[in-house]
Amino acid sequence: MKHFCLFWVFAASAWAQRWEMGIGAGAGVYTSQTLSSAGGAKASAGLAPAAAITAHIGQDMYRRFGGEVRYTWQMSQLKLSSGGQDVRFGAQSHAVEYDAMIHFGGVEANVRPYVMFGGGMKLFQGTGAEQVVQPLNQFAYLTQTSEWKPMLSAGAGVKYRVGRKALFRIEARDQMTPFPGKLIAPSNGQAPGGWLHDFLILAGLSYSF
Amino acid sequence: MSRRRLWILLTLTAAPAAAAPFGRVVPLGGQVSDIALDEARQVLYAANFTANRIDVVSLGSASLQTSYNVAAQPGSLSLSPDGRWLVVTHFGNFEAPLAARNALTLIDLTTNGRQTFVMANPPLGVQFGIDGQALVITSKEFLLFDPVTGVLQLLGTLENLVANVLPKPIGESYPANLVAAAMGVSGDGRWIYCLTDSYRFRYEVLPRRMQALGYTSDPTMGPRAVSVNFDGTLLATGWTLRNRAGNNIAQYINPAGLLSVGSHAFDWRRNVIYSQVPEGKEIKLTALPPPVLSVVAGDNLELIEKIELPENLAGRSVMSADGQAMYSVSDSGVMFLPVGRLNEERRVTALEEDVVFRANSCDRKVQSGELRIADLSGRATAFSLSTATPGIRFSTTAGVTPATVRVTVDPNAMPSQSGTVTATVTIAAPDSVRIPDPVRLVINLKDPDQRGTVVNVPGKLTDLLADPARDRFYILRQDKNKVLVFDGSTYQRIGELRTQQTPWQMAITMDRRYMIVGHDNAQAASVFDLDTLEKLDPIVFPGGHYPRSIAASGRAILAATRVAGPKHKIDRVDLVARTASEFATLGPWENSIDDNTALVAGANGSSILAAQADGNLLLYNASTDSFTISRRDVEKLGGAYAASSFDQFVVGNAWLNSSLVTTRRFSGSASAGFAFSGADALRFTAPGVMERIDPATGSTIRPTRIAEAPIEGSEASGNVFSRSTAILASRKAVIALTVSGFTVLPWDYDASTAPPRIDRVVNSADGRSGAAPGALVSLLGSNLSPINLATNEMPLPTALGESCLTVNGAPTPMIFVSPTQINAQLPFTMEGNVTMVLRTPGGVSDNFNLTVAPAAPGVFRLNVDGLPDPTPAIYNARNGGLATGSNPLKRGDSIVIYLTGMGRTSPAVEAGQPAPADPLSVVDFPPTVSLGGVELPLAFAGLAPGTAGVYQINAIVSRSSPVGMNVPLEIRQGGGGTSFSMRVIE
Repeated sequence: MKHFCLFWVFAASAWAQRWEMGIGAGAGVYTSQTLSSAGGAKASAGLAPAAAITAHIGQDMYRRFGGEVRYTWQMSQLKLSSGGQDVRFGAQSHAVEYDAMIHFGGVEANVRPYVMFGGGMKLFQGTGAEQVVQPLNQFAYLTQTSEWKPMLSAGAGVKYRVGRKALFRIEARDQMTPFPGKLIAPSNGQAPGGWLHDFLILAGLSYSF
Repeated sequence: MSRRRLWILLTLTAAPAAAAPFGRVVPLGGQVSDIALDEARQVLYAANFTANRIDVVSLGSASLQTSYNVAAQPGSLSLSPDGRWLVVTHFGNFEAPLAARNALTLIDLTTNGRQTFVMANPPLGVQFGIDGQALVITSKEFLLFDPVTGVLQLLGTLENLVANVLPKPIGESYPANLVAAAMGVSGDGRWIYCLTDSYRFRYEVLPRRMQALGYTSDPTMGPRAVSVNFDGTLLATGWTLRNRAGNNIAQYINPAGLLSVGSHAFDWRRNVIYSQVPEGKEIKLTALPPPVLSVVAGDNLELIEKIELPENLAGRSVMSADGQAMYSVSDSGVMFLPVGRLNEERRVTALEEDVVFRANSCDRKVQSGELRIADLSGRATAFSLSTATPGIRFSTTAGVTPATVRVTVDPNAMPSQSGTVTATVTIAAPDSVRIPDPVRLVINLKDPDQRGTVVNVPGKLTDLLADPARDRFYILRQDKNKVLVFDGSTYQRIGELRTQQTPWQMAITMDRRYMIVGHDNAQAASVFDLDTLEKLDPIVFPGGHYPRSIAASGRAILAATRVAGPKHKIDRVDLVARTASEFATLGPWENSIDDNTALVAGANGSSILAAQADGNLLLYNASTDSFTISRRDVEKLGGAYAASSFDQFVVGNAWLNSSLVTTRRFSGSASAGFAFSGADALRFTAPGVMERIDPATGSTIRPTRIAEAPIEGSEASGNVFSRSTAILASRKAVIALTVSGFTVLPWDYDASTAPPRIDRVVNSADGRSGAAPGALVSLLGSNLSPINLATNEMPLPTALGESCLTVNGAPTPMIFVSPTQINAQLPFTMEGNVTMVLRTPGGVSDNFNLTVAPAAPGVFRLNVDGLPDPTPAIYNARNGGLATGSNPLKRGDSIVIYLTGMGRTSPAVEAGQPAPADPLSVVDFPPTVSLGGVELPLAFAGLAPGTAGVYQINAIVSRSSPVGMNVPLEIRQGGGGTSFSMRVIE
């Protein structure tokens, strides 16, 4: 009987659509950190809101529980602001993560809300042209270099079935990394603390099979 | 004899004595009156006036291809825009009893068919426009000829144009003299211009609008040629350059006016005019100078270069459509000039206009300087040098370009032992098509009591003006049609303003916004915005009026004009309308002035003084807007002229009151410059004495010898008046226009000064103590110089401002002087304990003892806007920028460090001389450079090429260098060293 039940479970899984592959796009908004100059003035440092492109491949291991590997690319700008002055510097990021997903509905449901959490790594790259004298350099230097950061991710979304094997997905997620202190290097030499949140809204299409 | 010397000798021996002529003559066995270019068929049609044929010359082979026999005396021809029709006019204006043979021939170039039409009146010229119709001008009418129908349509008639009659005496047999008319068309074919003896015509092709303007000229308007730019906005007619409205905006200097000698062609792609306009009104056809093609600027006729021609041009010139070739009527027939390849021809020139030598109280021995001779085509071309002045020697009198010739001057052999002596070096280059300009040697032999810092400015300088509102002054360079703009603090040139031909005098409007410049060879005055230094629309003067001298009062702007007529006039300028008009009368006096008249307005704008060479004086009163005084108390006037804000005037040696009555007369030499500033007055006299004048008594105060003699007016120069002194608005300094440029005097030049005192000597790069042979050092102290002055001369001078420095008795090159700091370069030959002595007008400093180490490297620090601290001069080769926190070093980057104090080099370089680029001069003691303790590989450590006392180290940031915000970069050399922090990233 036990073997029969197992067979039944696997048979159901095989019958269910276990894999999902898709692409999406959206935008992200970063939080910022406050930096201080030697004279005590304050500046806000972070990344400017950025467009994002994402791709994922996921698997529903169980009826309500699954997981997916996701890559997200964002074209952004490093940003330093103080006293009405704004300095920007070209940048991009590449994030690779694995998220566990809990769905509020079976694989066959037409509307399938879900929550997710996971982690991975995010590569920040400064791509702008360095200047001999960068404005607001009393706070930080915006730098043409690369920096890997560990990343935590959490979010929620919903999948709509738009075809027999096609899904439309929309979701919000927060990619949390330590502050990229090599790209935005405080000029007083101190390492900035705290986390940088990248709130992403993504929409896309998936193919399930 | 070396092989190179032998080759030079052989080259010079083999070469002809004259410069190489440019262009190829195609003799045609007759006298050509006109040409037309047919590029589609690759031929040039030449109207052979005396052989009664149209010669067809191949452009490819530059030879006579064929000839069309036509009616007698083909005087003018033109090719239709579609290339089908060639229209020829025949100037057969024979007088009775001979039969007139005036005619027009139409040649269909596609069929070779010809038709000849008899004309009632002698045709002076023909020119096709863009509409395919040929404009024919006769002595009585304008006709439009349609080559398709053969119809001659009457456009208008003309009176009072007298055509020459034939036959003429033998001596006047040149076609240009006989026909005496020329036509030209704009590059777009929309504008046709014609020049005759008494009329100028402008024909607008598409609306078929003709405008005729009678004129007179002296000398006659030759060469009899018209060349037009692309859109018809500028045209050269005879010896004038005119705009579309017919205004004379520039003219050739002192033209001979010969109709049959010379030519010009507009090259609108390069905005130049290739021209031969012989000089000298008295010149005769039997004694013409060698033919020369002048390349002049298309907007103001500024002479750019002179090219030798094989023979005289003699009428029309045309340019090929691509601007590569010019074809001209010439004495023998036609001449082909490949002007597009002029840059590839041998064109020898000196790269310096002046070479300056300065003996000073530190250095009275033989002086030397460098003269660079180059061929602008980049080729090796033989040249030779000569001078008639004794005491001047050349390292070589003959050589091959490119060459640097060392010129040595023995001050003891100079004709004069004080002040400035000028000498001329003549360059001969038999293979060069360019006629090299002579080089002026300026040898200043300044005595210790001669004050002032001489700044060399080449060229013919004729006027000086201080800006009343800006810390600037202006010098008129007449030979280059420019106003040179100088900064009043650094005395460096900060700009130049292009004027029209032969600028004469400057004036600044009372609102201090505009400068107006008068000209001797343009019937217009240039206007410049002094805030932006932009050229604005010129002021156009009445025909024949050349506005030489200009002055602006609070009410009116006046111009003293040289008039091509019986009487010279004073005109009133309307700055808004950009026009001028002559006064009917000058108050109760006739408007007739000497052509050599100088106008000057007081700073308060209340009046304008007109000082005339014939001794007449006039005063314009701005309050009454009229001339209120006229006096003539002397036979002639000349020299300095000035007006004060207190209605006092100076002309020559006379001090005049508000009624122009001479109240006192200065004794001694003639004044060359006089300047009022508030209640102060300065007088500058030949042979170079500046003295203050007490306005109350007129007595002179502390006459002081100046380093150079002033530029004076003279009858030979054409202007008997001179303005050689200006007091800067800041009253920091007095500028004097002197023989080799200008001389700067501190405002208190005549005050007693304390001897200089050297307190400290530091490395110029980083301000630390320590010096090495060849290092740039800064002397800190007091009374080191009366003025601030920096030089960009190379080699560096051994006297700057009025200061000179010796190290162990040897003159030392200097870069910068000021009252509290002097930057100089130590000799490479001295090490150990040395003694420095500074000489200034205040006296001689005490000895300053300095220890010179073999090496004491110091990296230059730069003050960069936006960075709080001076930044080491370390450049990142990756992006060419200075390495800073926001432009950090990366592992693998190549860096260039600029420093001084690295000691002797191989090959050795003399202090003050620029370091060579090939071979590079490498330091004798190699340095080590480490970044974060990791030694960096070095590509080069030695003198930076082209600089004096500046070294550079080229290094590569090691892949193993640590990264961080403050990574120590350390340079060590010969026991000395320096270090600082750099930001390094991965």
